[in-house]
Amino acid sequence: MKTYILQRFIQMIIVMVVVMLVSFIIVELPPGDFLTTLREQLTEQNVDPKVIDSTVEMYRARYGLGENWFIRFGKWAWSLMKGDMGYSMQHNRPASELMGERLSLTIWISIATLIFMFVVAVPIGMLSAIKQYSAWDHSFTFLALLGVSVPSFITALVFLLLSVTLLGATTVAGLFSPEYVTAEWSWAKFVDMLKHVWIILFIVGLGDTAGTIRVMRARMLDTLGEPYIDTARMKGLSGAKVYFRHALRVAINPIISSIGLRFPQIISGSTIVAIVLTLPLIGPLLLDALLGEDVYLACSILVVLTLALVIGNFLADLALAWLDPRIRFEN
Amino acid sequence: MNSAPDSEKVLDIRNLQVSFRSIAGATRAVNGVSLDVRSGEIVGLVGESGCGKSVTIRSIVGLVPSPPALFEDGEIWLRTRRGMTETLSLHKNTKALRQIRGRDVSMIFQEPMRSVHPMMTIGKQITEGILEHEVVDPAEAYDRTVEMLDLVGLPNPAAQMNRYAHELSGGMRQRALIALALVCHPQLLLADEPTTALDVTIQAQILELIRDLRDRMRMSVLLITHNMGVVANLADRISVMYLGRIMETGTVEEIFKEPAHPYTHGLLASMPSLFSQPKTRLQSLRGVVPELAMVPKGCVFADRCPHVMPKCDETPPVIELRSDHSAACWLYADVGEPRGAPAVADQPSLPGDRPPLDSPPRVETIPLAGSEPAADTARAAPAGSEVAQLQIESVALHYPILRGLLRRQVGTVRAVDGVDLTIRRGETLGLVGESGCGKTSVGRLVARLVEPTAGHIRFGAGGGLEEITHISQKEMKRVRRSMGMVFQDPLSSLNARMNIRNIVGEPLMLHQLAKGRAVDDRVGELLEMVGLRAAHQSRFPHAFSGGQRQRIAIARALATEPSFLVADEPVSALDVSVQAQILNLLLTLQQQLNLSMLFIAHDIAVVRHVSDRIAVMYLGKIVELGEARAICVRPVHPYTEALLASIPLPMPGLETLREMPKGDLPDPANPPAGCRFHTRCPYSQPVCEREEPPLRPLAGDADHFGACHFQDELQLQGVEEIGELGASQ
Amino acid sequence: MEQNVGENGRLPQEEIEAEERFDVTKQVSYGRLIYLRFLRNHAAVVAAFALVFIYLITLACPFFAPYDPNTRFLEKVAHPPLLPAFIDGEGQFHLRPFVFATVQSRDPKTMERIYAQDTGRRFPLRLFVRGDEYDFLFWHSDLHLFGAQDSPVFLLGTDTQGRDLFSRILFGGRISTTVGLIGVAISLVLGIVVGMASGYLGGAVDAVIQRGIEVLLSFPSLPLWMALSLSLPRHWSSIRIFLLITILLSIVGWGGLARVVRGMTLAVKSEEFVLASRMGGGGTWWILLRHILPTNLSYVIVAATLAVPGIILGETALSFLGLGIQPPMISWGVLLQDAQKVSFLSQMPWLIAPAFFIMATVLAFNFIGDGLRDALDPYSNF
Repeated sequence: MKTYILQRFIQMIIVMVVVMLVSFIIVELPPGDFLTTLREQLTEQNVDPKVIDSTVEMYRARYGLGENWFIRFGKWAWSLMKGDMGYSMQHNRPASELMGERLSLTIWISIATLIFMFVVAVPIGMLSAIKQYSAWDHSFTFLALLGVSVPSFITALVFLLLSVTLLGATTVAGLFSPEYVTAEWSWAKFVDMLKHVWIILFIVGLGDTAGTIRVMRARMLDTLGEPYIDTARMKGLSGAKVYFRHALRVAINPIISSIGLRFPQIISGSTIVAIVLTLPLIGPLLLDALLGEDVYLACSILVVLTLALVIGNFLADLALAWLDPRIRFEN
Repeated sequence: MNSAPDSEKVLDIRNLQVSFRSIAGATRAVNGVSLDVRSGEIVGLVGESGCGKSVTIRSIVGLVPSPPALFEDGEIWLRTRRGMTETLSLHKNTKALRQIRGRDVSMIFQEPMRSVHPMMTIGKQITEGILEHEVVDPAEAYDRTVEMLDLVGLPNPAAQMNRYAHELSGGMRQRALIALALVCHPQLLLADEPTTALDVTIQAQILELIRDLRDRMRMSVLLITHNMGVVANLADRISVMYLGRIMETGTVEEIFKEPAHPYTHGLLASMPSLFSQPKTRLQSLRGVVPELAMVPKGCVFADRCPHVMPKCDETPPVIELRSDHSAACWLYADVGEPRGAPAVADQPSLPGDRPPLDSPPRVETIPLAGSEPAADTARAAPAGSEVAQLQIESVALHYPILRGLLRRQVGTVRAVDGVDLTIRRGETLGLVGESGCGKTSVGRLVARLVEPTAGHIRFGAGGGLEEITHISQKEMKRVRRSMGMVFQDPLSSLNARMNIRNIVGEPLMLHQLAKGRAVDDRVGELLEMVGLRAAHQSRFPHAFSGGQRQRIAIARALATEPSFLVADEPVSALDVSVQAQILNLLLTLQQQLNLSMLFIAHDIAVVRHVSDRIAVMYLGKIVELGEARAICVRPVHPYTEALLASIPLPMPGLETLREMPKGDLPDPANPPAGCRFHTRCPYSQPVCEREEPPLRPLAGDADHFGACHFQDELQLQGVEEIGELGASQ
Repeated sequence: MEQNVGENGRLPQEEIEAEERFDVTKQVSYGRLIYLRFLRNHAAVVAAFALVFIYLITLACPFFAPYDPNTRFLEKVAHPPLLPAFIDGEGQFHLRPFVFATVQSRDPKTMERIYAQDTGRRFPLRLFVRGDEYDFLFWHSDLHLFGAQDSPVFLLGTDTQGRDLFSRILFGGRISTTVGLIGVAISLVLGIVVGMASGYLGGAVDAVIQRGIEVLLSFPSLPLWMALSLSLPRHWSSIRIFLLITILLSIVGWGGLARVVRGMTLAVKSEEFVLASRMGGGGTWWILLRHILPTNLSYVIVAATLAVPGIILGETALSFLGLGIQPPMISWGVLLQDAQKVSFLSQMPWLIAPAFFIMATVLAFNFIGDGLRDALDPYSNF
């Protein structure tokens, strides 16, 4: 078990380094000299020439611009590691300051979506398999296929449409009631968020929930066909015990290991849904950064999101090893 | 509804009819089966695959999903703790059914590897059963489980409690499953092919265990199997089933010594046994088991029956030949009530081409056209042609075990560990051993489908022997023109996306032996040679049955007119009756084409039937090598003796007298030091743990090799000695 | 029976016939078997027809759309959808559908445009009418499938600039659906080559490729696409941007396909028919092209079918965010940009119509993919 954890940990570190490298290449991809662009942009914004000079100089020093690519990468990676996400030219503020709450909210919402997905999809998928070819099964199989076909931004748009036409809303439903938007975190604000957040979870999680229902149904059907389920039935166990104690714990494994694939999709989904519904998540900031060609900010966001995913995968693997003795003992 | 049967019976199935609904319409899987099991009895239900055995016994406990299954008629009475209970009517009442399952009746399944829950400890799985049915505190349930594990012969039972399925071997899993089934002391154990997935030596252990537990726990057993041999030594009575109907029922002696139904005859004759004449044509049933949807009207066996007559268009009645012996066949319609003499002997039509099978049971075999008597062929072949076709010398195949991120090598699997073999021209060498012993690897090494780690392979394509160990793939292509290979799984050995013409013609095209129309003609010839129609070459593999696919595979192997054939378990995936057809075909072709053959199988009876010489393999090494007859009559290695003794013989009433090999096959990655067999050998001495015996000739017999320290001292039992014992009983 | 054994060891004729009688042999190829099984799945068949229809009307959009996507009806800005009717203002039934004339006015308070139907004036719809000129392939024409004389037809209304939404959706669909096909084609080639190499060669090649794909799959795709779109030079022509976007989408998408192909290759590699082919003299290329590729292909087609929606959705999402296809080129995502603004959406809810076209297309692909997958099992009962 220990070797397994260690192994996965080393693997995670390697993936992280590669992710940073890839992101760095993306930063470097845009044609043209970054500093020239920066200078132009700042000039356009009518910034004091002295400030421009010092800003440009700061970037040159921090990212080692003009030096070898691996030195630049090293400097960039090192500053990232220290929690320095760079400096947003558009906002004239350190990126970490801008990201702060948005980042943690994004991650929390994504985790909540994941939990929502589990709580909804696993029972539905399981029941569909147990009652195969029933009306319940047919309707949920169809709904699930519909669900995987609707991207989250369209769900968000439809939600917008419904709220403006049916409810006559003039502003978009956000994460908070208007009076809490700028308020400090408090219990009341948290409760307020809970009132709003479920609809966000639904919108972001619909596609993945539907996908998980399909996987869960298929896995449960496979598992129910396994001989050890007959063994369990032959003991005289009740249906519930057979399904929950014996079938579920095997069928749910691929769902847990698929977290690694679901989580990126949920982050993707939350990014665009946040843009559509103007939620205070990381998505709108990323879009802003991209449209404003705020390169370093954009890539810092990409790296941080990806690293969060990689850590998430690592935790999912650990959970799987804890659940499944076959993995635990393999090493 | 009829009255409850007498309490002598633990199980009474009456006229069971089960159909399955599919898109094609309803097909009747079980068609009027009646069967009973009495107290303390072991009843065998025998038949080929797809004949409805499993559906029948699963119906008893409601494990057939319905729908799709429709229970159209019949009653199933089961003795429970609350008296005789009709279980078919309980199928809707799951609660009542659950109280019966595990408590009054239990079941063990065909695939022990997959029948134990992979994520739950053995102990928990078994105690769960106790706690379900009885009010006991967990500590008591724990103690009873340990006791039960001990009873089924698992070593160190307390430690097994916390182990998971993947930590146990197949044999140990089946033992654990038996413990699980019997922990609540049911009166009836249903065993669904409990040993089919296991190696022969393990199979013998499990059968012995079932018999032992029957006596100790005073229960009854209903065992289903496709292997007549399995029930011969175990069952008290046998029912033979074919296409959803019971063909014949009788005591084990009657079934084996005076089989009445032509199907029973056929099944017995199809089995190459240790008493059949080697290298002779087995009497096979013609044709294959039809699909359920295509079941003929009237007698379902009529199409394959050698005694078919016009009356067979009507369904035959079950005719009582005498008490406890009945057959569903028109041959006995005029017999009526039992007479003094066995009905079979009275029937002129039956024994016409075969004498009645009196004791000792032995299977009638007919020499192949043109072949000499077996004993002479066995000797004549090597003597006639001393030229070697293939020679392998100290060949080894080692796989590294790689672990971790850096793929470090943490060990080596020695699949083949220094094997020397020579196959002479026109000779068949049989290679026999249990799963994982490396026999398949040897077959693949010979054709360089895997690259040897060490050693030399020499092959005589045309003239003399040629070293092929390290020649290029291009050179190898030329050599492979003189080799053919037949694989085990007829399903996966034919590419489903290609038609038969392209499958069989592939080697022809690759070697530029034929083009265009010439391929069609040659493929046609080849297909006819293996007993298929030339016109079928435009069809695709899915249109053929398992036996036919194996014929196609043989045709492909022979396409380039090779002089050497590797047959890797060619019959182990086939039904008994089809198995005989394929063996006959191989024997005929071998004689006709003067092929040399490496015949690989796990069943020593099959190997003995086709081989001139036999090599016995254990954990990557040859432990005994010699003439087929000599090996079977007087084995010199205890492992060979064990293999011979483990073959369930179709010979009731015969007890094996010797000690069986203990335990499981060791891990091939970590073979025991010294003699590799010493951990399981009943004759093991201290020296066996230290020194590895080399393969050396016997004193006084230069053609017979053994790798045992005591091969010249030990007096081991072979087959014919058993045969004599059987006769003397 | 043994009397019947022929001299040459052939099976006796009657034996052949006995087998023959039970045979369920059908003289059909594997491909045909899949096709027949697919036909049994009605939902998938309906989806296939729907998809053909969608591709037909979007690829030949100049003909099927009543107007050029950039034609502006300044009098009819933000016009709601006007569906063809059969019953006129006097309750009379007409066999030929028609549209009513509309009269624009403004809400005195909000100053919003209001269109009222003038049931007195009706314009019958006609097939094959002359309208905006267009070039389609090598064909210059002004023929459109339908239209009304003397009055515009807005099946799905107009946008804020008075352009016919239905026409724009068809033109936008041409881009969106093609992106899906071209993108999958690129992914497919990459996936097959890399996947087969990885699976067949194994060893270090396999390990490196697999780790690479792992890294690729651990990026959240949308933010990655967004970041990559930064590298697109803004001043490029829209057709080049379109191609680049397609390549970009497939770069992220091929990883999954490569995994499928690798898995299949590994499975097939250990199949006995591959060994048999080697015994028959088949070399690596022969086996790859003759056995492994055809065996994989059907599964790959399923995976590809199920991958098309991902790419279509990627394009629409990117364009929707303004990072993908740039106006004046239109795609479904570009069209949806308008719907993002709450003020627009509340006044013109029909702007969301492109979303339903996206959903229909994606749903059709998913249904077909599911149907194909179910039809593929080579030994399942027919």
